[in-house]
Amino acid sequence: MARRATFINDHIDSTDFAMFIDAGGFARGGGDIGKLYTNYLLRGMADLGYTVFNLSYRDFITGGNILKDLSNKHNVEFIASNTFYKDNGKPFTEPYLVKTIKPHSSGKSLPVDKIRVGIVGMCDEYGLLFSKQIKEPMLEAKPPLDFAEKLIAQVRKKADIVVLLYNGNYAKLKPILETVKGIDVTIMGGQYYMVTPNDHFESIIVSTPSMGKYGGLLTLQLDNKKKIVSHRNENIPLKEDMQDDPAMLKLIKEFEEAEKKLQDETIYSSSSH
Amino acid sequence: MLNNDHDRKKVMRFSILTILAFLGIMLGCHQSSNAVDNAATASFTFFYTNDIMGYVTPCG
Repeated sequence: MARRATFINDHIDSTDFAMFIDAGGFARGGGDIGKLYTNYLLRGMADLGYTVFNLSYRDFITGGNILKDLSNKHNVEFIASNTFYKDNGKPFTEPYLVKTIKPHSSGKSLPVDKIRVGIVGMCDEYGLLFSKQIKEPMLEAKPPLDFAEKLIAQVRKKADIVVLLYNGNYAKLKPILETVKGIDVTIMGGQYYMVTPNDHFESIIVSTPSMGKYGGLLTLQLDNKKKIVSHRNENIPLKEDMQDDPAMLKLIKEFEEAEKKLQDETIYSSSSH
Repeated sequence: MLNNDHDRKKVMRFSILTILAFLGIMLGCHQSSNAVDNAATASFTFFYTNDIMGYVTPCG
Protein backbone atom coordinates (compact mmCIF):
# COMPACT_ATOMS: atom_id res chain seq x y z
CA MET A 1 0.00 0.00 0.00
CA ALA A 2 2.97 2.30 0.56
CA ARG A 3 3.86 1.95 -3.12
CA ARG A 4 0.20 2.29 -4.13
CA ALA A 5 0.07 5.62 -2.31
CA THR A 6 3.10 6.81 -4.30
CA PHE A 7 1.52 5.56 -7.52
CA ILE A 8 -1.66 7.54 -6.76
CA ASN A 9 0.31 10.68 -5.82
CA ASP A 10 2.25 10.39 -9.09
CA HIS A 11 -0.89 10.25 -11.25
CA ILE A 12 -3.63 12.16 -9.46
CA ASP A 13 -2.66 15.61 -10.72
CA SER A 14 -2.85 14.59 -14.37
CA THR A 15 -6.61 14.00 -14.26
CA ASP A 16 -9.58 16.32 -13.74
CA PHE A 17 -11.81 13.83 -11.92
CA ALA A 18 -10.81 10.73 -9.99
CA MET A 19 -12.49 7.82 -8.28
CA PHE A 20 -10.98 4.93 -6.30
CA ILE A 21 -12.79 1.66 -6.68
CA ASP A 22 -12.22 -2.04 -6.01
CA ALA A 23 -13.77 -4.94 -7.92
CA GLY A 24 -13.70 -7.34 -4.95
CA GLY A 25 -11.52 -10.12 -3.66
CA PHE A 26 -9.78 -7.90 -1.10
CA ALA A 27 -10.15 -10.20 1.96
CA ARG A 28 -7.23 -12.31 3.12
CA GLY A 29 -9.08 -15.29 4.57
CA GLY A 30 -10.61 -16.65 7.73
CA GLY A 31 -9.36 -16.70 11.31
CA ASP A 32 -8.02 -13.88 13.43
CA ILE A 33 -4.96 -13.34 11.24
CA GLY A 34 -7.12 -13.12 8.10
CA LYS A 35 -9.42 -10.63 9.82
CA LEU A 36 -6.43 -8.55 10.89
CA TYR A 37 -5.09 -8.37 7.32
CA THR A 38 -8.50 -7.45 5.90
CA ASN A 39 -9.03 -4.80 8.57
CA TYR A 40 -5.70 -3.08 7.91
CA LEU A 41 -6.08 -3.41 4.16
CA LEU A 42 -9.45 -1.66 4.21
CA ARG A 43 -8.14 1.00 6.60
CA GLY A 44 -5.20 1.71 4.30
CA MET A 45 -7.33 1.76 1.17
CA ALA A 46 -9.84 4.09 2.83
CA ASP A 47 -6.90 6.40 3.66
CA LEU A 48 -5.89 6.30 0.00
CA GLY A 49 -9.36 7.47 -1.04
CA TYR A 50 -11.14 4.21 -1.85
CA THR A 51 -14.86 4.53 -1.17
CA VAL A 52 -16.53 1.62 -2.99
CA PHE A 53 -15.71 -2.10 -2.87
CA ASN A 54 -17.45 -4.91 -4.69
CA LEU A 55 -17.79 -8.17 -2.76
CA SER A 56 -16.64 -11.53 -4.10
CA TYR A 57 -17.55 -14.85 -2.46
CA ARG A 58 -14.06 -14.85 -0.86
CA ASP A 59 -14.83 -11.59 0.93
CA PHE A 60 -17.72 -13.29 2.77
CA ILE A 61 -15.48 -15.95 4.32
CA THR A 62 -15.86 -14.51 7.83
CA GLY A 63 -19.58 -13.76 7.40
CA GLY A 64 -21.70 -10.77 6.53
CA ASN A 65 -21.80 -9.06 9.94
CA ILE A 66 -18.08 -8.37 10.02
CA LEU A 67 -18.34 -6.72 6.60
CA LYS A 68 -21.04 -4.39 7.95
CA ASP A 69 -18.77 -3.54 10.89
CA LEU A 70 -15.79 -2.87 8.62
CA SER A 71 -17.93 -0.67 6.37
CA ASN A 72 -18.94 1.50 9.34
CA LYS A 73 -15.48 1.50 10.91
CA HIS A 74 -13.62 2.63 7.78
CA ASN A 75 -16.39 4.66 6.17
CA VAL A 76 -16.37 2.67 2.94
CA GLU A 77 -19.31 1.23 1.03
CA PHE A 78 -19.70 -2.35 -0.10
CA ILE A 79 -21.82 -3.24 -3.07
CA ALA A 80 -23.28 -6.71 -3.65
CA SER A 81 -26.20 -6.18 -6.01
CA ASN A 82 -27.13 -9.87 -6.37
CA THR A 83 -26.60 -10.89 -2.71
CA PHE A 84 -29.56 -11.48 -0.40
CA TYR A 85 -30.39 -12.92 3.03
CA LYS A 86 -31.49 -16.48 2.51
CA ASP A 87 -34.24 -16.45 5.15
CA ASN A 88 -36.15 -13.29 4.23
CA GLY A 89 -34.84 -12.35 0.76
CA LYS A 90 -33.74 -8.88 1.84
CA PRO A 91 -30.75 -7.39 -0.01
CA PHE A 92 -27.40 -7.34 1.82
CA THR A 93 -26.41 -3.92 0.40
CA GLU A 94 -28.01 -1.22 -1.68
CA PRO A 95 -28.79 -2.57 -5.18
CA TYR A 96 -26.58 0.14 -6.71
CA LEU A 97 -24.72 3.28 -5.73
CA VAL A 98 -24.58 6.68 -7.40
CA LYS A 99 -21.59 8.84 -6.47
CA THR A 100 -21.23 12.46 -7.52
CA ILE A 101 -17.61 13.24 -8.28
CA LYS A 102 -16.32 16.81 -8.39
CA PRO A 103 -13.01 17.99 -9.88
CA HIS A 104 -10.25 17.22 -7.42
CA SER A 105 -8.47 20.48 -8.15
CA SER A 106 -9.94 23.88 -8.84
CA GLY A 107 -8.79 26.59 -11.18
CA LYS A 108 -8.95 24.77 -14.50
CA SER A 109 -11.80 25.55 -16.86
CA LEU A 110 -13.69 22.30 -17.52
CA PRO A 111 -16.66 21.51 -19.78
CA VAL A 112 -18.44 19.75 -16.87
CA ASP A 113 -18.52 20.58 -13.16
CA LYS A 114 -19.53 17.19 -11.77
CA ILE A 115 -19.93 13.61 -12.91
CA ARG A 116 -22.37 11.10 -11.47
CA VAL A 117 -21.00 7.57 -11.42
CA GLY A 118 -23.50 4.72 -11.07
CA ILE A 119 -22.11 1.47 -9.70
CA VAL A 120 -23.54 -2.04 -9.78
CA GLY A 121 -21.46 -4.76 -8.08
CA MET A 122 -21.92 -8.47 -8.68
CA CYS A 123 -20.38 -11.88 -8.14
CA ASP A 124 -21.10 -15.40 -9.38
CA GLU A 125 -24.08 -17.33 -8.07
CA TYR A 126 -23.51 -19.05 -4.68
CA GLY A 127 -26.17 -20.80 -2.59
CA LEU A 128 -24.23 -20.36 0.67
CA LEU A 129 -21.74 -17.52 0.92
CA PHE A 130 -20.07 -18.65 4.15
CA SER A 131 -19.81 -21.61 6.50
CA LYS A 132 -22.92 -22.63 8.45
CA GLN A 133 -20.67 -22.70 11.53
CA ILE A 134 -20.77 -18.90 11.51
CA LYS A 135 -23.89 -18.26 13.56
CA GLU A 136 -25.55 -15.42 11.69
CA PRO A 137 -28.20 -15.12 8.96
CA MET A 138 -26.96 -16.88 5.81
CA LEU A 139 -26.43 -14.98 2.58
CA GLU A 140 -26.72 -16.18 -0.99
CA ALA A 141 -25.66 -14.70 -4.32
CA LYS A 142 -28.37 -15.14 -6.93
CA PRO A 143 -27.69 -15.50 -10.69
CA PRO A 144 -26.28 -12.11 -11.75
CA LEU A 145 -27.83 -12.16 -15.22
CA ASP A 146 -31.32 -12.19 -13.62
CA PHE A 147 -30.67 -8.75 -12.07
CA ALA A 148 -28.21 -7.04 -14.39
CA GLU A 149 -30.58 -5.67 -17.02
CA LYS A 150 -33.06 -4.14 -14.56
CA LEU A 151 -30.40 -2.64 -12.29
CA ILE A 152 -28.32 -1.20 -15.12
CA ALA A 153 -31.46 0.39 -16.63
CA GLN A 154 -32.31 1.95 -13.25
CA VAL A 155 -28.84 3.30 -12.58
CA ARG A 156 -28.44 4.52 -16.17
CA LYS A 157 -31.25 7.04 -15.57
CA LYS A 158 -29.41 8.53 -12.59
CA ALA A 159 -25.77 8.44 -13.70
CA ASP A 160 -23.49 9.87 -16.37
CA ILE A 161 -21.11 6.90 -16.27
CA VAL A 162 -22.28 3.39 -15.40
CA VAL A 163 -19.76 0.97 -13.93
CA LEU A 164 -20.20 -2.75 -13.41
CA LEU A 165 -17.87 -4.30 -10.84
CA TYR A 166 -17.80 -8.06 -11.31
CA ASN A 167 -15.91 -10.75 -9.43
CA GLY A 168 -16.09 -14.34 -10.61
CA ASN A 169 -15.99 -16.37 -13.78
CA TYR A 170 -15.50 -14.67 -17.11
CA ALA A 171 -18.01 -17.10 -18.67
CA LYS A 172 -20.69 -15.76 -16.28
CA LEU A 173 -19.85 -12.14 -17.00
CA LYS A 174 -19.76 -12.54 -20.78
CA PRO A 175 -23.55 -13.00 -21.33
CA ILE A 176 -24.18 -9.88 -19.24
CA LEU A 177 -21.85 -7.82 -21.41
CA GLU A 178 -23.32 -9.33 -24.58
CA THR A 179 -26.97 -8.69 -23.71
CA VAL A 180 -27.23 -5.79 -21.26
CA LYS A 181 -27.03 -2.32 -22.77
CA GLY A 182 -25.82 0.77 -20.97
CA ILE A 183 -22.66 -0.39 -19.15
CA ASP A 184 -19.84 2.04 -19.85
CA VAL A 185 -17.07 0.40 -17.85
CA THR A 186 -16.64 -3.10 -16.41
CA ILE A 187 -13.90 -3.80 -13.86
CA MET A 188 -13.38 -7.50 -13.35
CA GLY A 189 -11.88 -9.58 -10.58
CA GLY A 190 -11.79 -13.34 -10.05
CA GLN A 191 -10.81 -14.59 -13.51
CA TYR A 192 -8.93 -11.34 -14.14
CA TYR A 193 -6.51 -13.19 -16.42
CA MET A 194 -9.31 -13.79 -18.96
CA VAL A 195 -9.65 -10.07 -19.68
CA THR A 196 -7.62 -9.08 -22.73
CA PRO A 197 -7.36 -5.96 -24.90
CA ASN A 198 -9.00 -8.06 -27.66
CA ASP A 199 -12.33 -8.15 -25.83
CA HIS A 200 -14.96 -6.31 -27.85
CA PHE A 201 -18.09 -5.43 -25.95
CA GLU A 202 -20.13 -2.24 -25.83
CA SER A 203 -18.57 -1.79 -22.38
CA ILE A 204 -14.91 -1.07 -21.80
CA ILE A 205 -13.57 -4.00 -19.73
CA VAL A 206 -10.44 -3.82 -17.57
CA SER A 207 -8.71 -5.75 -14.80
CA THR A 208 -5.34 -5.99 -13.05
CA PRO A 209 -3.18 -9.00 -12.18
CA SER A 210 -3.79 -10.12 -8.60
CA MET A 211 -2.35 -9.65 -5.11
CA GLY A 212 -2.11 -5.90 -5.27
CA LYS A 213 1.08 -5.82 -7.30
CA TYR A 214 -0.35 -3.48 -9.95
CA GLY A 215 -2.23 -0.23 -10.02
CA GLY A 216 -5.07 -0.05 -12.53
CA LEU A 217 -5.48 3.28 -14.24
CA LEU A 218 -8.44 3.78 -16.59
CA THR A 219 -8.75 7.30 -17.93
CA LEU A 220 -11.84 8.39 -19.85
CA GLN A 221 -12.09 11.57 -21.90
CA LEU A 222 -15.58 13.04 -21.61
CA ASP A 223 -17.13 15.72 -23.76
CA ASN A 224 -19.40 18.50 -22.51
CA LYS A 225 -22.39 16.12 -22.61
CA LYS A 226 -20.41 13.68 -20.40
CA LYS A 227 -20.14 11.20 -23.27
CA ILE A 228 -16.99 9.06 -23.38
CA VAL A 229 -15.03 10.08 -26.46
CA SER A 230 -11.90 8.03 -25.80
CA HIS A 231 -10.23 5.95 -23.11
CA ARG A 232 -6.82 4.67 -22.07
CA ASN A 233 -6.09 1.80 -19.69
CA GLU A 234 -2.78 1.03 -17.98
CA ASN A 235 -1.62 -1.50 -15.41
CA ILE A 236 1.27 0.08 -13.54
CA PRO A 237 3.54 -2.39 -11.69
CA LEU A 238 4.20 -1.30 -8.10
CA LYS A 239 7.90 -2.19 -8.32
CA GLU A 240 10.37 -2.49 -5.45
CA ASP A 241 12.27 0.62 -6.57
CA MET A 242 9.12 2.70 -6.11
CA GLN A 243 9.37 5.07 -3.18
CA ASP A 244 7.24 4.16 -0.15
CA ASP A 245 4.78 6.76 1.07
CA PRO A 246 5.82 7.76 4.65
CA ALA A 247 2.24 7.99 6.01
CA MET A 248 1.42 4.55 4.69
CA LEU A 249 4.68 3.12 6.06
CA LYS A 250 3.51 4.20 9.53
CA LEU A 251 0.28 2.25 9.08
CA ILE A 252 2.18 -0.80 7.83
CA LYS A 253 4.49 -0.67 10.89
CA GLU A 254 1.39 -0.63 13.11
CA PHE A 255 -0.04 -3.57 11.16
CA GLU A 256 3.18 -5.58 11.48
CA GLU A 257 3.26 -5.00 15.24
CA ALA A 258 -0.39 -6.05 15.56
CA GLU A 259 0.33 -9.16 13.45
CA LYS A 260 3.32 -10.12 15.65
CA LYS A 261 1.29 -9.59 18.82
CA LEU A 262 -1.52 -11.77 17.49
CA GLN A 263 0.91 -14.50 16.41
CA ASP A 264 2.59 -14.44 19.87
CA GLU A 265 -0.82 -14.70 21.55
CA THR A 266 -1.77 -17.61 19.27
CA ILE A 267 1.49 -19.45 20.04
CA TYR A 268 1.07 -18.79 23.79
CA SER A 269 -2.57 -19.86 23.68
CA SER A 270 -1.86 -23.12 21.79
CA SER A 271 1.19 -23.99 23.96
CA SER A 272 -0.74 -23.43 27.21
CA HIS A 273 -3.38 -26.03 26.27
CA MET B 1 11.34 40.15 -65.72
CA LEU B 2 13.71 40.87 -62.88
CA ASN B 3 16.02 43.49 -64.19
CA ASN B 4 18.41 43.98 -61.36
CA ASP B 5 19.61 42.85 -57.95
CA HIS B 6 17.25 45.24 -56.21
CA ASP B 7 14.20 43.62 -57.81
CA ARG B 8 15.49 40.10 -57.04
CA LYS B 9 16.04 41.02 -53.38
CA LYS B 10 12.52 42.45 -53.19
CA VAL B 11 11.01 39.24 -54.58
CA MET B 12 13.10 37.08 -52.26
CA ARG B 13 12.14 39.19 -49.22
CA PHE B 14 8.47 38.97 -50.24
CA SER B 15 8.72 35.16 -50.63
CA ILE B 16 10.39 34.70 -47.22
CA LEU B 17 7.80 36.93 -45.53
CA THR B 18 4.99 34.99 -47.23
CA ILE B 19 6.42 31.65 -46.04
CA LEU B 20 6.91 32.98 -42.50
CA ALA B 21 3.37 34.35 -42.43
CA PHE B 22 2.01 31.02 -43.66
CA LEU B 23 3.98 29.10 -41.02
CA GLY B 24 2.80 31.53 -38.35
CA ILE B 25 -0.83 31.07 -39.32
CA MET B 26 -0.45 27.28 -39.37
CA LEU B 27 1.23 27.24 -35.95
CA GLY B 28 -1.43 29.55 -34.50
CA CYS B 29 -4.25 27.38 -35.86
CA HIS B 30 -2.63 24.24 -34.48
CA GLN B 31 -2.26 25.74 -31.01
CA SER B 32 -5.78 27.09 -30.94
CA SER B 33 -7.14 23.73 -32.11
CA ASN B 34 -5.35 22.00 -29.19
CA ALA B 35 -6.72 24.61 -26.83
CA VAL B 36 -10.25 23.97 -28.04
CA ASP B 37 -9.77 20.19 -27.66
CA ASN B 38 -8.50 20.53 -24.09
CA ALA B 39 -11.32 22.84 -23.10
CA ALA B 40 -13.93 20.59 -24.73
CA THR B 41 -13.08 17.42 -22.80
CA ALA B 42 -12.53 16.47 -19.18
CA SER B 43 -10.50 13.50 -18.02
CA PHE B 44 -11.93 11.06 -15.49
CA THR B 45 -9.61 8.45 -14.00
CA PHE B 46 -10.59 5.30 -12.18
CA PHE B 47 -7.82 4.14 -9.86
CA TYR B 48 -8.94 0.54 -9.65
CA THR B 49 -7.95 -2.72 -8.04
CA ASN B 50 -9.17 -6.30 -7.86
CA ASP B 51 -8.18 -9.48 -6.03
CA ILE B 52 -5.77 -7.83 -3.59
CA MET B 53 -6.43 -10.80 -1.26
CA GLY B 54 -5.40 -9.00 1.90
CA TYR B 55 -1.93 -8.09 0.72
CA VAL B 56 -1.27 -5.04 2.87
CA THR B 57 2.24 -4.98 1.42
CA PRO B 58 3.01 -6.27 -2.08
CA CYS B 59 4.91 -9.24 -0.63
CA GLY B 60 2.75 -10.24 2.28
